[in-house]
Amino acid sequence: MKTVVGLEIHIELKTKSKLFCDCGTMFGLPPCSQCCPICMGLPGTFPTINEEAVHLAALAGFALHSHVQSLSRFDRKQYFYPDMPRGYQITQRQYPICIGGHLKLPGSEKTVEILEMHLEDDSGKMVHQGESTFVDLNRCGVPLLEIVTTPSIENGEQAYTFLNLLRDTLVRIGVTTGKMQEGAMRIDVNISVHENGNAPSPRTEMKNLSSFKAVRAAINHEAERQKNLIRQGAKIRQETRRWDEKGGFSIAMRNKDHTVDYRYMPEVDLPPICISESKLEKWKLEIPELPEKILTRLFTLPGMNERTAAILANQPKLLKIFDTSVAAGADSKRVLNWLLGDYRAIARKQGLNPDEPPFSDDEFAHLMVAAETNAFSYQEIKSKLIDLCSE
Amino acid sequence: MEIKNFLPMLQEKAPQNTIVDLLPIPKEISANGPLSGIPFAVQNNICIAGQRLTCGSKMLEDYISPYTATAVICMSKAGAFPVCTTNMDEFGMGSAGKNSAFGTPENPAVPNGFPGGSASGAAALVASGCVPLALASDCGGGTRLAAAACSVWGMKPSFGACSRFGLTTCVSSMDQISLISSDSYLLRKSLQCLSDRLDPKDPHHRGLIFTRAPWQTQGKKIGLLEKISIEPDRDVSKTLHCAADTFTQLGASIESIHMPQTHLLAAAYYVIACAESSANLSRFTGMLAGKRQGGETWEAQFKQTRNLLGNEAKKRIAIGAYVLRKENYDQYYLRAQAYKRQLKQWFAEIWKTYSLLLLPVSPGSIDGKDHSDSDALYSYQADGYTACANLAGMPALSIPYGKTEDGRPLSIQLIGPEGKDEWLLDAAEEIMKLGRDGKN
Repeated sequence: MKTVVGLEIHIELKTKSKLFCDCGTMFGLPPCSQCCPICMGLPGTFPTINEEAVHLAALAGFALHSHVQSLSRFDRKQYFYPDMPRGYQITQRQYPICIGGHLKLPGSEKTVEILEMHLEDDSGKMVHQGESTFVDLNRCGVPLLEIVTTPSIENGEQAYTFLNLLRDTLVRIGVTTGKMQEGAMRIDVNISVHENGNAPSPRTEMKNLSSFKAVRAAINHEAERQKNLIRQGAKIRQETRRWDEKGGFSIAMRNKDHTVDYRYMPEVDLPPICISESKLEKWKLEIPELPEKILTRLFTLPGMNERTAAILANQPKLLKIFDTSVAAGADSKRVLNWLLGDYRAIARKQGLNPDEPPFSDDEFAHLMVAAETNAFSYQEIKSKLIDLCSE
Repeated sequence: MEIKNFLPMLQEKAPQNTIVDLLPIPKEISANGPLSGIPFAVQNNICIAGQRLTCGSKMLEDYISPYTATAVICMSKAGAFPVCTTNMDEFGMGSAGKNSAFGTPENPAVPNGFPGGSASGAAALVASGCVPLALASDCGGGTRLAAAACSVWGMKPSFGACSRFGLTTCVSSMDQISLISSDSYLLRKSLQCLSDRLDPKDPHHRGLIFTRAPWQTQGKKIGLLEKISIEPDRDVSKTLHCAADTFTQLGASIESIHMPQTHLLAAAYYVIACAESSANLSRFTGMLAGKRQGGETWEAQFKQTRNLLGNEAKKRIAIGAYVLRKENYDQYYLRAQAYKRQLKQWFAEIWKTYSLLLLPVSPGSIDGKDHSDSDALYSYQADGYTACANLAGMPALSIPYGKTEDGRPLSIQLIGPEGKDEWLLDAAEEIMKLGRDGKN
């Protein structure tokens, strides 16, 4: 039996202002201190598009090998809920901003396919206090990019690796903070099990998992649960389940027998998003070398393991020093040891941020090459390195 | 009159049920603006900071807007000052003026007659002579129908001509800030002020370019559109031909034209209008806007609160929700959109040959009767005469033009190409100079 997993990932875009108004997007402010008539949906107001959000969504699209659309449009998804003042969410159903895409997982041949990515606005938050419930609208209208994968993930481990790479990539290009604890990434999981030759079982959904580890555990557990049911000849119900992280089990929340009709319609208040070809070309050039490519490149080098590769892939300055040193002729293994080992230890001891080296790429490369040609002792190199850090 | 005596006069002389609230007279009025010293009324679905925004609905009876609409700010900058808010059909839904939660405004032009709608209060107040000008809105003909019923001028500008920020829209894709006046001069000046500067808060605002190239009816081709779906009555037809003759006298050539598939027009309009209204009215749940009603759960609260809506609003929400259902979307909403596109294309073709279209405002003269209860479909169908301009985004003007033998007001309507709003006023002024008013 084969497990099939699809993910829906909501990424909070790191814009200064909300998607459709000028309100800020700070986390942790006093309730309702960051809202205006527009994001409150008061009568007479209209959304206007935040160009910065479009820019970041396009960057995410380029980074994930997606087709960034020069023309996309918003739709209204209608349902009533106290934290959504307009009575509909503004999202992109018919014409999303990015179509397709993929990420190749490091150290394997596995590629996770992306179906589409769309822009939408976040809802507010319900705050429960004793008997009463309040609504905090600070988050209401913050731009989200929803990334929908195809059911191309086969197990919890792949999902875990994919999510880490996805976060590293998006953080690297400045699209999101990636902070799970602040809700900057929210993950829904869809799981079904395929018996060989049979139609897939109904899928179950788990919403709002709190960490990548929880995603991994939930997928593995849910796949096992479904397989057991099939083995016992029982039926799997299409339903939403809640993952209990502490207990390590899931329980059914509500079944999806009568699916809600959201009465989608075009968002007529907003003209379509048009991005000129020249702008798209310009934005494309803003994409630096990304973790996906860096990891693939680093994995071929001697002395590299997953952990060290991941550190370099996420620290552009260290990576640049590493690349410069190796290009200058230093041994990659030696550079790794000194750069990620001794240097970072020295930096920490001196109270420096190890990710922001106080020396230039060339200085370090020079030291590494000199150490090899002059056969410096460990102590000699270390004292020179301390000198570099103290200058 | 001294300005301090204005509000008491207004309170005393205004026809019944036209005014919602009187507004404080501003301390300073710009003395050298193009509209300097002109008092104007504001339909009560247009926001004024600190004032009630009832939209003619029980739902918003106590709602106070925290901000002021761009249109009101533009008018004030030009020297005009708002003096009162006016009653209207609930959320702009209605053609007769009887759908307000706060009573039907009295029509000074027709004793015991309905004032027309949805801009009922604004039109009736202007007709009474208490104010020369009113800001209103027009999503399917509301301004023109009320203006025609009350025998005043009603102007719906091109879609996007004026900023709608602060206008409580029901039909997002067609609603427009509109003007009612006893005078074409004020319509023109107001329109210039409203379309002058682009408002970043209205994504559809494009403004207007006033060419100042003098319009001359001489040599123009004008299309005569006698019928849209419902046959006009004898009086309406007569006054239309009278206007056509006047245009001919002025040197225009009048040609009869036919709009294709007019039997679908009102259907397409109402499908789109109801769909958009159903979504736009979803915000009135009592959470932030709407008079919150009690209930154990939030669902119960929402239901109770939304029960404050009037029957026409409920009906349109139900129709809108129905046509947007997954299984109905294609055969209703998409077909209506396809019709709208075709209509736009038809107009685009028309403007290659004709400079303006001349047509009735509605198929029946104002008889003071109300068709909307006995025959809702007839009433919806009749709106095709005005709704075509909203569907296609064109500017449209209703002009009081003569009276029936028993003294009921008659009007004609002009529709022009998008952005050529000024032509309508130019052409209207020319035929009015020949003075047909009252000589029908």
